[in-house]
Amino acid sequence: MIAGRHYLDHASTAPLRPEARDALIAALGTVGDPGRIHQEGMEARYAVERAREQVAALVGARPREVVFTSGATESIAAVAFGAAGRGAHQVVTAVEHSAVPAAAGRHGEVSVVGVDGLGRVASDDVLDAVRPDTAVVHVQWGNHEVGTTQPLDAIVGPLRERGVLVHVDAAQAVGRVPVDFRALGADLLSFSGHKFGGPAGSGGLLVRRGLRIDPLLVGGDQERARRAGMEAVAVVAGLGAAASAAATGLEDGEVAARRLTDRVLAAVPGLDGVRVHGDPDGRLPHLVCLGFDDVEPQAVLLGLDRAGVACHSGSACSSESLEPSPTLAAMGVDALRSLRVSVGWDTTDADVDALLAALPEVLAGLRALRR
Amino acid sequence: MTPTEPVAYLDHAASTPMRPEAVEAMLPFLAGHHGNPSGSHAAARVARRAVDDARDAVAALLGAAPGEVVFTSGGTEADVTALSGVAAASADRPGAPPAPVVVGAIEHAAVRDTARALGAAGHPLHVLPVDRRGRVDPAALSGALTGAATGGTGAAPAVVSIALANNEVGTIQPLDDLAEVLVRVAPDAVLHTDAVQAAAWLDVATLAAPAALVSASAHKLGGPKGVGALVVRAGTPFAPLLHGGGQERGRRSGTPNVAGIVAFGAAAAIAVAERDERAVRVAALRDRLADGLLTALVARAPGTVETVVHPGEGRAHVLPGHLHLCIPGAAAEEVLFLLDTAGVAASAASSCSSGAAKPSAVLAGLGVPDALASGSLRLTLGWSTTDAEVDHALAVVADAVARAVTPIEVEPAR
Repeated sequence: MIAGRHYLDHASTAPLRPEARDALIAALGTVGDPGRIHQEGMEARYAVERAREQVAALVGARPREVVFTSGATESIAAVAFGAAGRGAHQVVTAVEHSAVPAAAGRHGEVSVVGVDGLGRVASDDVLDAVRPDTAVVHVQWGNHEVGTTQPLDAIVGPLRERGVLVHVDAAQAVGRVPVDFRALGADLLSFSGHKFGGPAGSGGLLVRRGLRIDPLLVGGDQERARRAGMEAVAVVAGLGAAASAAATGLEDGEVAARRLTDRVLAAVPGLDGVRVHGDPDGRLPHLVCLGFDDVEPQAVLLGLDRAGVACHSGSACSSESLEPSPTLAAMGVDALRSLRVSVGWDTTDADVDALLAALPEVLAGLRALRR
Repeated sequence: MTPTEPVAYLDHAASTPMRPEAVEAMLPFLAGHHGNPSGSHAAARVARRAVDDARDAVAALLGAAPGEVVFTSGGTEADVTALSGVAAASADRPGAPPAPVVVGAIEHAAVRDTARALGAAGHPLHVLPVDRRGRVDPAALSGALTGAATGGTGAAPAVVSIALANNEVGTIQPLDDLAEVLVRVAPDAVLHTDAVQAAAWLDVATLAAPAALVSASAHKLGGPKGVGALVVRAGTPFAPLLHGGGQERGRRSGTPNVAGIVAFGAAAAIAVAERDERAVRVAALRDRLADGLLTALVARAPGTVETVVHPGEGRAHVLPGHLHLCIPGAAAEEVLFLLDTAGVAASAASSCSSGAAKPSAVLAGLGVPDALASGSLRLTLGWSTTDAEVDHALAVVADAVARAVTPIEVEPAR
């Protein structure tokens, strides 16, 4: 932690959990290639397989269903690429992370399913978008900007019956809410480690047992020939430890996150010209999206930053672009004026206190400038 | 697991231990300075500056402008991105026939398998033979490119991928000779070189200068596993493999592994600073190991040869840390097991074909007979290798190998 700072941007990237840091640093000393039969190799293999079991336990998957990747972006690209062999068409929702439509568009013709004003897709709309040549339907667990969750139960089963692959982008859900891959029934599920306190550069793709898709990265038999390239042993060990820590406190963490974001939501009616975007009921516990009627969110962000509070504006993973948020645009919301507040494993009431103390002052200051 | 403490780690080409300086460099980014370098809050600025510094160091290592360095998850991703990136860019040209793909016969599997996949997707594929040292024949390259150029009007420029140094046997490729062919026969062709093995040992900045794309991997030179880089020189036709957030100037999306990148930068800086001294020192250790082992092995397993090194030639064309032997009648897996028990970590082939007992495509490409290739042993030294490790290897390897040998008759290698 940096003294005096209040980090409310967990949905971008969460601070590394101490357990993950310790495991990562310990594994930096494993010298060998996990593919080797020598002692150094076996030590590295052990670290990787232990992490695989830890991750599998967090997401309700069999260890063999876990393919380690460099993060959700790679997992998503691997799905779009690997599914393309089954058909020329892919379906996405209008509120997917930008990695999903970009990758799908690279490997097929894409249909986009729209959402309502709260960011929800209708399951019938998703099913109607499927064509005979549809290879895969990409649908997120919960939105990265507004937190709205999707009706996966009504989507996954019918698609599986029709023989269409279902890929769930659960980058914002894993480690934050209970995820049970087997019960969900999806074919593929993507996640990132750094969103819930694992290392950046770690992540995974769950591949349902019995499913085989062409690998995006070729040139080695690692990950049962589903993802070539030497295992990032230390980072994977850190991911495993983060998964284990997240699993231990999962229910408490979800309750705590919801309570903290509920505090933010409860304060909104008292703030002039501030609204909440997204579904107030079906939402992820850890993030809320605030909209402003009359001030630029970039200015709010800077004001809060000066007050020691780190939040996020818009969707973009890359802040260099100040493009409008596709999620908010799809919801029909004024896409340039939003601010995301997101909490995580190390967020305290003091952090939310700091936000709620600073925000009215920042807004008042900005409005005063315009008079 | 054996109770024996490992005494000689001779598998550096698979993965070399992290440099203490690289570990030190990454620690701060595992603690307080978390923050997405693309985020706009204060914590992120520290991370962004550190990534920029690492980019400068890797650019110096590989001879590129910092803006041409794209960080990846490793050498494999860099290789796959390079070949499919150029191919995809050519596919984006409406109406153009698919770009020809030209690779050497002993390329790393990441290159070979990507080339094969592109071939299956309609790109004309040319695999270039190599000589007994493992060098690509410039005439063969010229022939392939001439054939490719007559493939049709408006054909996209060819993608040519030749490693600067081979992963398995360590042969250094004179890239300049091949680049000359490109200039003469196919000036539009895009040259990629896998410098994953070379980066720890050679002046890549100079030797890879003719290549438009250069791959490297951190853990082969003292950085962490799971980090690599691809140089994409300005003006190179290129489409990304990973899409979305637009990181790495839109050439590789995905939240960057800041700590790993910073450690890569630290390892790269050391690799450059002490390269010449280390190459001389390690080559001397390797020569001592090679000469001693060959003498001992030839006596106990007649017909043992040092792969790609022929009598009277010297080893100037082989990476300083590489020693590759083919032992007639030895079962590689058994040799490795016995070596491990004796405290020596080695390998039979490259790190990607290790587990399975399948023949090495590299040795096949070199024309090594199967009976000889099945007794392959790769011993690779690195920055941390000591005299004592070489002594230990000299004391135990010949014995262990002899126990795993069933004498056989082998046709001499060509």
